[in-house]
Amino acid sequence: MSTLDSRSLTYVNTFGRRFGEPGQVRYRLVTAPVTCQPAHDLPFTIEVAREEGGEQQDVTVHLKGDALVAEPPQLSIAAGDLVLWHSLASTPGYAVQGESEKGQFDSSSLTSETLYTHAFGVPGAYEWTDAVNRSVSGVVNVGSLDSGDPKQCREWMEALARGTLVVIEGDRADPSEVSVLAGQTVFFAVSAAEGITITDARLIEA
Amino acid sequence: MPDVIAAIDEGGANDLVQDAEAALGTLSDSGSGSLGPFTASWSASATFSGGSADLIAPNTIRLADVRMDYTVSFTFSFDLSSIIPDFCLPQVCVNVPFIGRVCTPRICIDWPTVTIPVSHSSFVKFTADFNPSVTLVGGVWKVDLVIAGVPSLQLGPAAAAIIVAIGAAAALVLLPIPFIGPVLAIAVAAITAAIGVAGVLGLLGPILSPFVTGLRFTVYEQPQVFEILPAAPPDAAVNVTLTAITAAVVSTDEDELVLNVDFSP
Amino acid sequence: MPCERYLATLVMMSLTETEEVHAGLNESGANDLLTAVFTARPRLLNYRSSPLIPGPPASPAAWTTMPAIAFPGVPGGVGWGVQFSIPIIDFHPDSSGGLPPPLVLGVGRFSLRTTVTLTLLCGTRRGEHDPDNPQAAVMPLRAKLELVGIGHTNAVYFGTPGQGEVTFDVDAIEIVDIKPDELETLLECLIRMLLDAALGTVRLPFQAVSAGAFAFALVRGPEVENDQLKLYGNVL
Repeated sequence: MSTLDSRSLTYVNTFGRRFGEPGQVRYRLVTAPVTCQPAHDLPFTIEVAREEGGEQQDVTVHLKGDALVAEPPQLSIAAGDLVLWHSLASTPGYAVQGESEKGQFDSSSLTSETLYTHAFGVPGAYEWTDAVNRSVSGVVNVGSLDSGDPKQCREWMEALARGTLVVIEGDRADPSEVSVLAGQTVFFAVSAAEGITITDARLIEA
Repeated sequence: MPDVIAAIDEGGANDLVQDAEAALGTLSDSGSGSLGPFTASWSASATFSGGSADLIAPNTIRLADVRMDYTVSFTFSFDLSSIIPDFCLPQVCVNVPFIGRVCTPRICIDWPTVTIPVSHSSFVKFTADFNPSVTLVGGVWKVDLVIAGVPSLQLGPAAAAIIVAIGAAAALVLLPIPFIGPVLAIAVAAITAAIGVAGVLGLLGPILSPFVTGLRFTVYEQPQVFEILPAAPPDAAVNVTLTAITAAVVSTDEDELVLNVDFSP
Repeated sequence: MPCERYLATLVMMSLTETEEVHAGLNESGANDLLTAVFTARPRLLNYRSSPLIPGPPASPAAWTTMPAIAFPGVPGGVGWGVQFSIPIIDFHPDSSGGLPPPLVLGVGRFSLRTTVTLTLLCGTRRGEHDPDNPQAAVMPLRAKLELVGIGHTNAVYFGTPGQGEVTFDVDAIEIVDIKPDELETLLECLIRMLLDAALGTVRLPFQAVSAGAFAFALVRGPEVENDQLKLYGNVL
């Protein structure tokens, strides 16, 4: 459930997309892994108003019966707002697929002005790469602290509230290597890309 | 006077018991039981060795310091949420250059149900009285030494060792769980505290005691139709019928286990 | 006798004495074993040179067939039969009511009682014998004699520990009141040899003496005393 793979979003991830053009955005939620499907049913909407914004708008994804639902199912935002999808603990892995007047978007293929966050739960060295083209890659070193040491425990609790940013532009990740503690969140912000994934290299067949 | 009187002294009885223990082989059993607040599925095996025989008239064979070597393997499962408190990652905010300030929601960790396997091998010694029991079942005479009463098994040291083993096994199972790191020690401590030595004893005692209370060492076993001479063509086998067998401990200038056997042609 | 020594005699000796295992076969048990052996294998007590020697027993399988005694001028040899009844053994001390002199049941020995039946195929004079119809030429003559004997037991060991057999040797027999004395002596010797050979076919495994109890390696015995045949050994 906490695998580093933007192709499947879980409760330790968020996916964000900035919508700059006014109009209607329709999207659906699909369970991962995503297969090629015709986009005939996009039940959730985002109305992008003309007025300028720049705020964050949250959408909660959860399971209702057998279906994934977005809460709120209809969202009104200002142009330039960021919509951030996140899920509850019991939600299976999912992806967000939609279309707007500017074109289609898919959380499993990150493009410009999109964001993927991941909270790392298990210490280790994570070499990540784009599963489609191997166009970009990097390393996240996840360390641990001795929770029995009160001083280290306090340090760790404070660190949990601090995020680490990696900006991806084309085939470059900046910084390409970061170090965090178990429990901390890394923000992978894609400023320019044709459609990449952030995937643990061990998940990709050689 | 019986047709045959067979007697064995304490020294010989010692050897007899060692042989009978070896012939008993490995006893096995499985089941489920309470491990403190948890339910554990277990399997166990035991072998017996050693001990010194003291023959006591009229019908007691006291075996002192018999050693039971055992292995107990058990697993127990539980929802980790019932053991450790809810743990939530706080909201995290960063400034993304081309997007702006972004904040993740508070993430409350969903602890899974875990299954912890534990295996422990050790031994315990006990002293018990046995009585000879003579039976004729299915055309076979047997003289078994059957345990009388329930000896007390000193399992305290084993229970203490098993608690440590549970802690180690729990740590191993919990370690890969995401976000467990800061609460791993708390979780392990909570598990071992919930079970406690008493919980281990509550599981171990009912597992091991039946191995002991059900002990029967066979010291004599012959078919009722007893072959004196095997067939050797053209001659047929020569058999007699064992018609009666008694067993007792007799004390004279030494103590002996005596079997009286009657037979007919 | 000093008091302490007298008291010591009141404490019974153990069965195993200085060994770990004792197996004592009572004479009644020994007789049951002999009955079992000779009932299952009657040919060990019935010997003849020809089916013309009549039974009982009737079955040819109950006989051991031997050659006739060759003698010049006796066509086919002298036909004969020797049969013993199942011997009844008495281990020392005597409980049979006494032995005929000069037999004495000494310590460590056994006595036995049996009957021997001697059968001779009595033929016609030479020349009148018709080989195509031998029955017309011979007639079985039978004599049954009671005899008493004394003997001793032996142990035969095999290479495998705990494996061995107890055997019985006949040392002397007495057939009462045959005259002249020389004939009695001759017959006693002859029959003793035959009985010793017949009884020699009985070889009781040690485990038979103990009814299969307490497999042991023999250290001492067989010793015959107190109406028992005793073996002593240590657990294998």
